[in-house]
Amino acid sequence: MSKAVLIGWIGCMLATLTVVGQGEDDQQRLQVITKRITKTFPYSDGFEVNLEGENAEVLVESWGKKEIYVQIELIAKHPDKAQATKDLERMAYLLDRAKNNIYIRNYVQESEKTDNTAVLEARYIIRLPESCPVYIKNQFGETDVRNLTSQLRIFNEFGNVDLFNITGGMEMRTKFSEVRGAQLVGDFDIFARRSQLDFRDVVGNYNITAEYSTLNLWAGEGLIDLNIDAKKTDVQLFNIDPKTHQHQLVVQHGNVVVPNAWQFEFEEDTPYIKKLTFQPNSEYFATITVNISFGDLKIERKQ
Amino acid sequence: MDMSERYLQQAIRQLPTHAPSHQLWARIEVDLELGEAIQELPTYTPSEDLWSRIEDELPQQAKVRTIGSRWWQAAAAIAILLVATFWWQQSSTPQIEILSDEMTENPALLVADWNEDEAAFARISELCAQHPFWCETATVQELKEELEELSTARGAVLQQMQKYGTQARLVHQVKHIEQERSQVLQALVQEI
Repeated sequence: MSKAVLIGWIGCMLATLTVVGQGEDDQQRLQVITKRITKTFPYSDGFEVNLEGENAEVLVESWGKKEIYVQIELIAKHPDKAQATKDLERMAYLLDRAKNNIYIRNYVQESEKTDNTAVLEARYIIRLPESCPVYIKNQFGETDVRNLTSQLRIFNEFGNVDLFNITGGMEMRTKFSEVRGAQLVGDFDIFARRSQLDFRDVVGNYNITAEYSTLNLWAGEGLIDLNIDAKKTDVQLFNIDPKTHQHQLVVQHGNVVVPNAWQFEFEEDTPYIKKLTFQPNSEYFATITVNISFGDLKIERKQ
Repeated sequence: MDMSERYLQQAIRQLPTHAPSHQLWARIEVDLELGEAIQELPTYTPSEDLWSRIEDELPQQAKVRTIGSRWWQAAAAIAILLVATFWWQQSSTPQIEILSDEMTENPALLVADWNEDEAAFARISELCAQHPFWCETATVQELKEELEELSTARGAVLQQMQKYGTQARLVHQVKHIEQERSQVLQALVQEI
């Protein structure tokens, strides 16, 4: 190795170390103080869990016990531990039972924050019998719900929602959110505004209203009726079986892409409005109804 | 003899007859002897304090037994009460722990730079005020309403940052809203 190459190599190493060092300097060490609250309620039929979270990560899942377990974590982060501990007291919570309802909530006691106070967060873990009805209202947070067979109601704004293995049905209203769901079985009533919805393996009856949103839906075996009313929303339907569903599609000020092999009947086909229908040969079939204005529709058949 | 006496004599004669047992007179003799023997038994006068001693003894035992059982009952009741209270407290009072940890974060990433282009959004309002006819079309009105909704949502997120501090999740929300606002602003500029 020549002297020039060696000097160059050492120079590169020093430069790399300098960059890495600068990166480390940018990192700030934060003290994280967590108040963890846990409580278990004995469960009886007719109980319902009502959760109102703010800036909270929420996990709700079922378990085999006849109990409702609630864990709340209130978290304060600040470079100074004393400040973090002090600011943690600004976060309040409610965890109580009134008759058959269990109420859970977190909030900040002061409306305005002064300068240089800690960053505050809340986290929930709730485990309950799968048949326990649940109502979740969450704003500016993340919501994750798994393995429920009960009636589920979700009101969500400014946050993401993940749903997995929900049987029995759901009522949801969401704004400025991203909603992902898989293995959804039952009666679903969904209103979404300025949101992105992705649902896989959907079975049962669906009534979806969407505004300024995108909707991607993968049909599962046993999708019965699907009714979509969309404004300024793009809709894509995947894994649709032509043998099991008739289609009634209306798209105004938008484009339609449907499988070429299907014999769709175009009742209207202008640049402004497209009306399509399709009827399978089978005796019994379900219905897919889509009404879109200022949005595109794409349907892909089952492979 | 009058009639009633004759009837009586006749009834007596009709009564059944019974022969006594052979041992009857022997038993009568034994009973008589036993009665005489009892009368000959010596007599004793009990001590004067006998009854008081018996009385003292009997109630004392009973009292001790009563007091003892009541103490046990009270102790058992208190113990049950304590256990029940403890169980109730365990089941009704939440368990609270305070945990401490550390993490690192790059504060430069969380600097609030989302207000830098607000002048461009304000410019739309100024233009509409200066040239109202530019903004009277239905499309512009609709876009303005859309922009207003997005601006309100943006304000809600920023207010949330005031309460909970600037954090990555809220910055993501601001990013999405700002992207939509930018698209609406571009559409408005084209229309005007």
